[in-house]
Amino acid sequence: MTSVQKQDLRLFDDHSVLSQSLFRPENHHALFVTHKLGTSPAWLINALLETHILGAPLTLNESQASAINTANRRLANAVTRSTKNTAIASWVHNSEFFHSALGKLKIDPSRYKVHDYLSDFVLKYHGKTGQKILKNLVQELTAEPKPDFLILEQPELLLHLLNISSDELHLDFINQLTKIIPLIVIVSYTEAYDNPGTDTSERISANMIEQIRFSNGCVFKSIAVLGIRPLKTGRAKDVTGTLTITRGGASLSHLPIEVAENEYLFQTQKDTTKLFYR
Amino acid sequence: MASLSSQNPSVILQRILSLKESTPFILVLDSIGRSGHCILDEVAREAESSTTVIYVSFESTRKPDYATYFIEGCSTVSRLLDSIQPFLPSPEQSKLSKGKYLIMIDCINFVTAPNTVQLITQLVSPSVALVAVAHKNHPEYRPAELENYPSSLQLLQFMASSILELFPATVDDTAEQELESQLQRLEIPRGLNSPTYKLTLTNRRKSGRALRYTFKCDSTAHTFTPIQEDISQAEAQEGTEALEGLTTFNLNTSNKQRVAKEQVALPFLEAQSFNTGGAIVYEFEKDDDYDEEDPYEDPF
Repeated sequence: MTSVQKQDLRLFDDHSVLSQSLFRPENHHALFVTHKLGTSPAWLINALLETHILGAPLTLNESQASAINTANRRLANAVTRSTKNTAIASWVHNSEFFHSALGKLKIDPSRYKVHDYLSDFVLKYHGKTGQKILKNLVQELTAEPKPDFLILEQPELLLHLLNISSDELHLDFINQLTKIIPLIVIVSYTEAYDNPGTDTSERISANMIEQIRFSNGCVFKSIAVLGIRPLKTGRAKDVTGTLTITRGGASLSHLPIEVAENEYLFQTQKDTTKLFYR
Repeated sequence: MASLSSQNPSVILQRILSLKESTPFILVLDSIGRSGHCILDEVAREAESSTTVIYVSFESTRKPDYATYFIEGCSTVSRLLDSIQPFLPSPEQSKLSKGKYLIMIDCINFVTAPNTVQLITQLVSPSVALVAVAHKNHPEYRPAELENYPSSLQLLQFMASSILELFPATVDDTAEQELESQLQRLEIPRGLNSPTYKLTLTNRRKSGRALRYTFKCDSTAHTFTPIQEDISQAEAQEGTEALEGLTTFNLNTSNKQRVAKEQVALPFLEAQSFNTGGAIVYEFEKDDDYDEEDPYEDPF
């Protein structure tokens, strides 16, 4: 595998990961990242954060030393980039997780904001109604300085934490955020997703219905879906899984870009992830 | 069903998309493989410039360029109706105004089954057309007491005067099955939501007869090419040939007769108009034997 040519990550046909067209005024978009058991999306989340903060996914395809050098160079002459506001909200990782990952590239924590909804979430919001909590969360996530790029890691857990329906989560949380923030990335765990369709007489549990509706809703409102899954053939020493970039349900006809549909193989080793074509 | 139709499928589709056909409620059925916004774009493109477009959005926060008004969707039907109705014409206004009103709903799945009927009946009128997108394979929670009540999708399909069902373009049945099994696990392959897709139109005629046509569509070139046309023509030909020489009578129908047959309104349609409240509709004819003194014979 070492002889195989490494490939740059690109999501759009202007050869970009996060195209500048997405951040035009009055434009609001969503990306949907799905992942399954055995393929953590941490490397992709980091790559997207690095792209927004530093202009490129530096840890992809590069050794850690090389990535740090490039990051230092970019940080030194990229004072202008500080105008960008990046935020991450996670229900499965605490702030230390992100500080440690981005700290390796010497990215100052003031350049991004981590909302830790893993620690003490239940204690903090105990006794409040689901609607009120969602309103509070929207206020927290859109507080000044308003982020222009937000990653939500597993917001579907709110369905069970707040005992709300998927429609409420979409209308009162995701839609409210997309209305304010130019680009949001929803990262969701879809291992349990099993949708037999509406024609079948198979009964689906109420929890599963909400999960399916939430995931479907995310696909329909996203411009691109980034699917990470393990190899179909099982484990391999030189490949961890596949990343498929596909168009989502939302239209991009109002922008001069198109989603660059692609399928990469990826291999995660220590601190770096390499991308290849099949 | 399309086999014996006398009309050109492309013309019917064009008329439906441009709201020239009498179809007050157009249902667009889509899936993850091909989302329905392309049909909303086509309807907006075909509609006359004087049409007022009210876009009710549950999924997008961006107002489309063609929308006159943009309304954010909410889960309560009464609130939703309250926010839409100020933009609709009053009965007096609709008589005077020449322009049409078009309501677009980008995801009607947010409205629960018991509220679907209320929403549609209160919005649709002779001067207001409704185009609603419904996602197939979008399961809904149904309480035990409503287990035997039709699902939202069934109700919508029953009420719609035209149904446009979208499918991603696939090579053959095997590819279709493979795609279905992948989407069942939310593994989305490349090539979906592309500008080229398959569309099935179910058009309910005034007679109550449903005509079904399939098209290959291209949303960039805005073309709708009927497919399986050859097969249906061959079937029609076979039907004609089968009737020939059977009897000394002519059992075939001419084109003119076929058109006349399609335009016959079947009596049960009267019962579906919702205005009669279940009353027996009786139209007095000159040859009817009507006895004024018999109280049981009063048909009114």
